[in-house]
Order: sequence, then C-alpha cells, then structure tokens
Amino acid sequence: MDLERLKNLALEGLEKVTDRTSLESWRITFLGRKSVLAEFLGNLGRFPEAERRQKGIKANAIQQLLREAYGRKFASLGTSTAHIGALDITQPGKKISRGHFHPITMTLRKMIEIFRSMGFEVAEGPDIETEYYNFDALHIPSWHPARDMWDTFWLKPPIDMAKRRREISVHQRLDQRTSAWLLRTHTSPVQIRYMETHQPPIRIIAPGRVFRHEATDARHDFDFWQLEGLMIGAEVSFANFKFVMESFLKQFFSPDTALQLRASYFPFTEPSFEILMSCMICKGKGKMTGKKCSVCGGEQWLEMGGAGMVHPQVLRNVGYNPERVQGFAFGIGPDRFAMIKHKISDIRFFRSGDLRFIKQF
Amino acid sequence: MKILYSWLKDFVRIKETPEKLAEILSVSSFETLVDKKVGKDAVFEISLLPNRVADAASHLGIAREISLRLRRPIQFTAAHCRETGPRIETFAKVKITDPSLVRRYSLRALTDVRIKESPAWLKARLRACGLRPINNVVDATNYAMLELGQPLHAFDADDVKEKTIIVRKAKKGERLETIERKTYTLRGFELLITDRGGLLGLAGVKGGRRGEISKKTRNIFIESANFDPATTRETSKMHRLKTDASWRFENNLDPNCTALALDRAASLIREVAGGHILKGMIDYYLKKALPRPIVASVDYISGLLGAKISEAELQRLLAPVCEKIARAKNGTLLLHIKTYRRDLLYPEDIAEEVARLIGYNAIQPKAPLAPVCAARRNESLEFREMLKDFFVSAGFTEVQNYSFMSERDVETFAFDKKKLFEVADPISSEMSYLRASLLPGLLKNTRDNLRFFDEIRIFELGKHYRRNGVRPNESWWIGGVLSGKAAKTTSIFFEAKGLIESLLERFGFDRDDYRWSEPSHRQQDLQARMAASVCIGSDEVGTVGIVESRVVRAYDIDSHVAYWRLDAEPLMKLVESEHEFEPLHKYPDALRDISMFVPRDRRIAEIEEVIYNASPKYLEEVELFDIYESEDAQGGQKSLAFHLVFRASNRTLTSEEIDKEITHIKRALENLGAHIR
Repeated sequence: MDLERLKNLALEGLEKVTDRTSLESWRITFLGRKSVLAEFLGNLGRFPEAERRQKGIKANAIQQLLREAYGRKFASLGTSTAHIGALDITQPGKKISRGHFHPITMTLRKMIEIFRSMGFEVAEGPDIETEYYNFDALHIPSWHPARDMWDTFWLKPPIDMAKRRREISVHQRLDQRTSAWLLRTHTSPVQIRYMETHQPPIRIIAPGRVFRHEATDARHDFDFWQLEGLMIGAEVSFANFKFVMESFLKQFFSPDTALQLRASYFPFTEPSFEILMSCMICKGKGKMTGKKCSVCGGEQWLEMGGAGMVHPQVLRNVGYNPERVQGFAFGIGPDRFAMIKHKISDIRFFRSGDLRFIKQF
Repeated sequence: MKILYSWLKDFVRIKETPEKLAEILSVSSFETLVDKKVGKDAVFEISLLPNRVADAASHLGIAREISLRLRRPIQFTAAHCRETGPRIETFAKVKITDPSLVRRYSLRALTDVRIKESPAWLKARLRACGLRPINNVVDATNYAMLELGQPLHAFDADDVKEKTIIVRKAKKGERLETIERKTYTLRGFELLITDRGGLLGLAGVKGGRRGEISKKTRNIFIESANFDPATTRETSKMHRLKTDASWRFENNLDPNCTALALDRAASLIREVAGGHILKGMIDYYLKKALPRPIVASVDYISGLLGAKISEAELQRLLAPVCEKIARAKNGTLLLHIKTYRRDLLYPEDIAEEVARLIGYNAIQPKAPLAPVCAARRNESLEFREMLKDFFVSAGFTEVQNYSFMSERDVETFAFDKKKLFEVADPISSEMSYLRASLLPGLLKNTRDNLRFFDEIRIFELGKHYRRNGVRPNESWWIGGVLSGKAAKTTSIFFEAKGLIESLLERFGFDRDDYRWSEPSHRQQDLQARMAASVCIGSDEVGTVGIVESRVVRAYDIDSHVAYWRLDAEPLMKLVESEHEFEPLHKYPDALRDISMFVPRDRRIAEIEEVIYNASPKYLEEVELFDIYESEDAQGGQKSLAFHLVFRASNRTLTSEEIDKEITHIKRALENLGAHIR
C-alpha cells in the first residue's frame, strides 16, 4: 500500500474536522485498532525480511505524525468558542426542597459519636424521677444547702405513701423515699440506675432532657439538654478525666482547643471542678480586631460544664466498694455546645419551633 | 459576698494586684471578680462554694485561703478584752432548754455604752461590703462578722426580764416582731432567743424588736453562738427570711469561732461606744469541737489524681490546715485538721485539697487503660435516629418543643386530667402540664410559621408523658404535620398516608404486613371521617388524620392540617433485621391498565382484593394511579384506573393468557357493581 498517499489522505481529512465528534470518527478511522495503518503494522510479517524493517520504520513514523496532529487538533477544539451562547451556566439550578435536622440533633449525634469512638455506651432513663434517684443517691440530702443549686419542678399529685408501699415490690424499696415525683434536674439519675444494674468497669454517657425551675434568658432555659458521662474502674484517675475531656473537646471543636479546670463543688464528686475551654473564635485572646470577642465576651475561657471524681458515698449508695473502684463523672450541655459551634445567640431558639432558625442548618 | 482588698491585707501579705489576686483565687478556690475599684483599693465579689461558707465567709477566711494557696504566713492576733466591772455571772444568766439545737452559746455584757454614729473608717468598710451602717454597737457586731465570719447579735440588756436569756424552741402560734417591724407566726420548730417576758429574736436569723439597740440603750449583751444548721435552714426557708447570719449558720460554722469573735466585738464596741466590759464570758459549750483526724494515704491520693505525690509534698501542702500531722505507717499520714475547715472530713476531701493546691491544670493528662472494644449499641436510640433520617430525607424539618402544655391545650384536646401529670409550681400558665401528645406543640409551630412559609412540613421526635394512677408512663413518639396555605384535605391526608407507607417499606414491611383501619379509640384531635390507624399484626403502631377543624381554629390556623404519629418503641420491636435480596425476574412483566366506574362508597382495598383474587396465579402488582370523583358524576360514582403487572416465574406469558386473566378480572369486578371502561 501506498503509505504516502494514506498520510496525505489522513491529513486532509483532519483539516476538515471542526468538532470533537468528527475528530473522534477520524481518529477511529486512521488511528484506531482496526485502521488500515494499524493492520499494516500488525501484518509486517508478510513482507520479506529485508523490506520489513524499512516499511516498519516508515509506517511508525507516519503513525507518530498523525498522532501528534491529532493531539494538536484535540487541544485546539477544546478552546473553540464555536458553541458558547447555547447555555447560560450562571442560571440557578433547579431547587430541591430538602429537610433539616434540628441543630441539637446534629450536635448530639456528633457528641455521641465521639464518645462512642472512645468506648462509651449510651444509657438513657426517665425524665420523671424520684427524689431518691435525683438527689439522695447523689449525696444531696434534703436538708443540705447544696439542694439550692438545683431548682426543681415538682409534680402533682403527691404520692400517697401508704398506698405506694402496697403497690411496689421488694426490689423497688429504694423508691420509697419519695414524697412526690419530680422532673429530673440532671441526667445523673441515669448513672445511678445504670450502676445499680451493672458491674464495673463502667464507661457510659447519658444524654437527655433535664428541667430546672429557673428564669430564662439568652443562656438559660428551663427545659434543655444535658450529656453526662461516667467512667469507673480500678484505677480511673483525674489525669484520665483530663485526657478524655481534652480529646473530646479537640475533636468536637478543633485540635488547638485548650482545657482549663477550676475548683468547684458538687456534693456527688470530690474533687470537683469546672470545665473551661479556650474560646475558639478569638483563640483565647479575648479580643477580635480590637473589639471584645462576641462569643466569650473577652473572658478568653468559656464555661462548658462541671465534673469531678465520684464521691465514695455515691459509690456505696449503688453497692460498689470505694476501696476497689474509683472514677470520674462529668456533665456538659449540648445546647451550649451547639450555640458556640454555630454562633447562636439565644438558647430559646432551640425550642421555639421557628423554621426561619432551624432551616439555617 | 463582698470582700475588701485592703481589709485582707490586715491578715496576710498581698503584693498582687486585685485583678491578679482575683484570677488566682478563681482558678484554685472560688470565683472572684473585681466588683469596684477605689484608687488602689478594690472590692471583690466572691461566689463561695457551698462547702466553704463555713470557713471562708469572712475576711479572715479569705485571707487564710490566700495564705494557704500562696504559702504565706497569716498575721492574726486575737483581740484582748480589757475587762472592768463585775463578773458577768452576777449580772446575767443563760438557760438552754434544747441542747441538741445549740452547739455553743457565748455571751458577754457591757455597761454604760453610748449609742451614736460609728467612726468614718468603720462605716466605710461596712459600706464597701454592702452593709448599711446603723449605730456604733450594731455596726461593730456586723464588722466582727465580716471580719471573722461569726454572726453576732447585740441587744439591750435592760429589756431582758431578770437578765435571764432562755434559748428554746418556739411554741406553735407564737408571734415575733422583728427589728424590721415585720411579724411572724411560728410553727413550733424554730429556735428562739427569749426571756420570761416574751420573745427577743429568731435565733441565728433575725433579732426581735424587743431588745433592739436604741438611742436610750446603756447596757448590752453580745451573743455569739452556734445554732443547729438544719433548723436555721428550715426556719429561713419557711419564713422566707434569708440573712447574713442565717446563711452562715445553715452552712455549719465552727463552734470554736464564737469566743474569738465575741472578744473582737466586745473590744471594738468599747473602742467606739465606751463602757465597761464585764469580766468573763458565759460560755455554754457542752461538746467541744476537736481537730478531726483523717487518714491521708499517698497511694490513695496519687491513684485518685493520677499523679505521683510524695509524702513530703503532702506534708508541705497540708501543714497550714493541720493542728498536728503524725505518720501512721509508711506512706500514710494522720492529719488532725483545724476545726475551722468544716469541709475536710474524709480522705477524698484531702485529695481535693491537694489537687487544687498543686493546681488542676498542673497535673498531666493520661490516657486511661481500658479494653479496646466497641461500646454496646443503644438500639432504641439508633432506631429513633433512623426515623428522623427518614423524615428529613422526605423533605421534613425537625422541630423541638417544650415538654409541657397549657390548661387550654388540655381543654381543647379533652385530655383526661387523671391521666396527666400537673406541675406543682409551673414556670408559666403555658407550661402547667407535662405534654401527653406532640400535636399541641406542632400546631403552635404551624400557626407561627405560616406567617413566613407557605408550606409546613415538620416533625418532632419526643416523649408523651402519661400517668397511670401514681406511676409515670413515658413513651417515645414521632409525629408530624403537613399543612400549607393551599392545602386540601384529601391531598394532604394521602400524602401523610403515603409517607407512612413509605417509611414502613423502608423498614422492611410489605403492603401485606400492615393494615389500615379505623382508629381503635376515639381520637379527639382528628376528624372522625378522615383518620386511619395502621396495624402490624395486632399492634397499632400509628395514626394519620386531618386535624379537627375545631382544634385547628383553636390555634388560630386557617389552613387544613394533616397529622401523623408513630409509636416508636413498639414499631422498633416489629422491625425485622435487614431487607433480603429477591432474585431479579428472568422473564419480562406484562403491563396492562384497567379503568372503571364504581359506586363512590366502594373501598379501594376491596376492589384491589377482588382483582387479586380474580387472577391469583399471575397477577403480581395492582397500583391505583388515577382516581376521579366529580360532584355530578353518574349519581355517586367515582372513576378508578389501575396499572396491572402480570408475571410468570418460568416463562413469558402470551397475550392470550393475559387476556384470559383480564377477562376473569373484569367479570369479578362487574359482579361487584363496577362498570369497566
């Protein structure tokens, strides 16, 4: 075959190509697997040995030339402006209506996921509780001034004690010490109930709604969320608590978040501390562009919750031996975490049902 | 509590600025803020922790804390009384009728005092700490309290009948008028300061009008006592009388404080009001408070904190609060704690003291040693979250409402109050009951949001709170609302129904697995004609319906509202494990459509059943795709159209076979009164 004529034919044909579709047809014809050139090269064996080499070199050279021409043509067609004007790509796409999760759901999911990854099981319990599980088991007797730390919602009717004693079984004798039901002021009752029914080591978190009879403002609501944690074992220490809390804060916010603890007091922990976190907006400096940081108000540290080493009396109350086990407990607020993460200004948005708020997330 | 920076310096050397001092105390001791600055001086606002009020509610107390924390010596000398005049025992008597409620009662007397205004320096310090100056004697007792933490009470000795003070429990019905001219009727458990003639004061809380210091007072008693904390607290709460004194007493003060403060007050009064301090002190103190011994084990403290503390370091840190330290055995110290630290009772208290003095932030974090295994799953929680996922993916927005409802909600929905929990002291009338349904909240959301949005598609996952006699019954429900300015009842009803059917399919339920029927019990909130419940087996797991117009109007909503709800826990128990793969069909489906007119009251379910039964072998699916009811159509008829899908597992069906099936179906339908089109 006349390789020279083939080459010219191919190049002429390439001249005429004006778009990618025809270019592709051209490529298949002249450079494809079943093209004349490819077959020719594949069947070099039918030529006598002397001619084989010379013909091979020539055919390869033509193939290479055509490939380069193709490459240039391909590139040039890419920058071709022949078809612009057909579609305005800046026109908005078709809007789909999507549903939204409540920001608390998203915050809780993230918090639970981080703790689960550290081996914490999620425990839940009732919102309506007895005085025993909410206070007494936690070493907060009724005459103690510490009771004032939690303003309680009591429910009617007060229980008829004599009738109750007839109603309840032996195993629930502990519930007897109640005069009425109340709405739990923290999720600590869940921890007590869990410890009563499980042997150590314990590693749980207890998220749930809690209720405090307090005046509401931008940072306080009377019906809100809490997430408590508990880790009990033979050697669980304060240093372990710091590690776990730091890991959690760094994963929830950012790796450069710092943890600070301050002296505090809870009847159910000793030592007790307040958990503070460096403000991630102003990076703990208190100021942003010369003005007081809007999130931490210039304080540099944000209060995120409380914690402590579980009081031996609490351990005894659930039937554990404080000489054998010890551990930490903490309580943090998902509302607060959500507010800081998303810069939400008022806690009351969460239970307002205002779609203009929820649909932002 | 207000504390003056310069007053602290009377007791301990402070070189730090007020701001720096506030920061140090906030981290290791109590939250301290600089409230006011006056030149170089400052007033702190300190929030004491409940367990430290006993020792730290005073300038000496805070100074001791600073001395402990910064390891500086305390500079304190007890006041010395220049006693002139006869022995107090010749002048007065004290009787305690309830020894269990009075841990200590110390009394001094002064004669020939002159009541006038206090000197400027004394008034200034009182004012700085938020107290109003009254007269020199009262001010001096308040001064001693602010300085040493012990409440004192001065009263006119000449008003005391036979100069005999009787400390006793109140009798029910007794009335006391206080210095503030308020009268209280007593219940019978309160502790009183009295004499044979009547009442002189509410012990530990407030002084009485009788015996108050006035311009004519010449002879005074100063009482410095320690009353039972629980009684003081109950009295204070019952009569809503919270004072600087009651606050300190209910927090369990050290009885050893009384004499110290009494001497201070007496000498100060002599300084500012003149007079003679009678010799001696009447001191009723049956059981002296002694330093409490606590075992401090190096192993225990190091283990609890997760940091190695040496015995020497323990001694060094704790020496200031100990009367004596003895070594019990290797690695264990026996600490005799000074009586003013009422919060240090047990080894764990010592651990806290050590930790905060070392500094919580100085101890290094350590990863806990625990088995590496995944935590057990909480399937109930996960299922509920999957329910949420479904509705969000169906385009709904999740809301959260308060757990309460109002009296009006209860009336509108006609809930049986015997099955509800009422709040004893609600935060507002809107929140007087625990909610027994999600609907009241969702309707409020609908009303509020229709102002801004044309369409409402919302849901909530939350608890219903019900009461069985005295027992609570909390259950998780997921409920939602479909509404909009142009909502039509039939279309939103079937949209809600379709939503539930879709959800059931997502969780593995075929159309055969559930059944729609009239709701089992009377639904007050849904229209009787447009409500249906879905049952899986014998369990009613959910309901769909159009909300009663009466109810909708009660919430000021103009549009129609569809409501659906599912009982999460029973549903979860019924959900089987995973969807199972069904082999794909080898042979093609044959599709046919059929349309008909049927009497309007013929139920779709019935027609579908007839169709299925007419072609049991090959008919796989029957899907209603069109339904039309016109007002005037053929005397109460509706027009229906179905897609029919025929399939054989082992061959392609021929047209003749399918035609035969269609004939069977048509005949069965005509028997039912349908008119095939």
